Amino acid sequence: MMEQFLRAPAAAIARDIEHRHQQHILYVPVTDARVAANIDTPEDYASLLRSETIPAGTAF
Amino acid sequence: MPQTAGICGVILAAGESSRMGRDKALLPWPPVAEGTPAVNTFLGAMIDLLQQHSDLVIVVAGKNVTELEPVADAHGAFTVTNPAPERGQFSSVQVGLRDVLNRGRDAAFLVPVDRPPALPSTIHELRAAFLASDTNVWAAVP
Repeated sequence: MMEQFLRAPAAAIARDIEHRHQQHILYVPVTDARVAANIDTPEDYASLLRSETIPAGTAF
Repeated sequence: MPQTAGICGVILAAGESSRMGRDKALLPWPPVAEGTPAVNTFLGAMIDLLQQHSDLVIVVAGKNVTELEPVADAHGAFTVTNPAPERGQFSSVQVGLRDVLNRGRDAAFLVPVDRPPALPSTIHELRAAFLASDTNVWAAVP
């Protein structure tokens, strides 16, 4: 995938390249909501801080 | 045949954070009790996480390189600068991946800095799934 990314124009969209090569992608199911989080505004961040519960013993 | 990759962490942190009003890479993380000083940031916590699962970590900065490089240094990561981040986030992907190759590695965790770090178990699962896959697999995506 690195080769495809490096050959693409700088204005390309990674998701489009991924979709063109789906036969080479391994989609791994995860239950971690953080992988889909998008923190763009102060409101997003405040909401994240309110909602986040840190499991005991989690390493950062 | 399974993968035998040398894996880097690449953190995309060149954005201007215009909607946030301050650099998202430097937002305090993890949450602390009110009145308690923050001990880390999105960027620092992301570096710490990826270092547990990769050979080295590269931070792609932009015009904010002066602010981010000390954090990267303090956490043992390398910094590379996207000279024209206004081209969009994909241009930072390319800057980061070129640096991966320059450092003799051939695979990377690509993560934007605008979210809290994934759980360590998630990174472990993705890495294990990719390394166990056939070489016909080019990427593992959550």
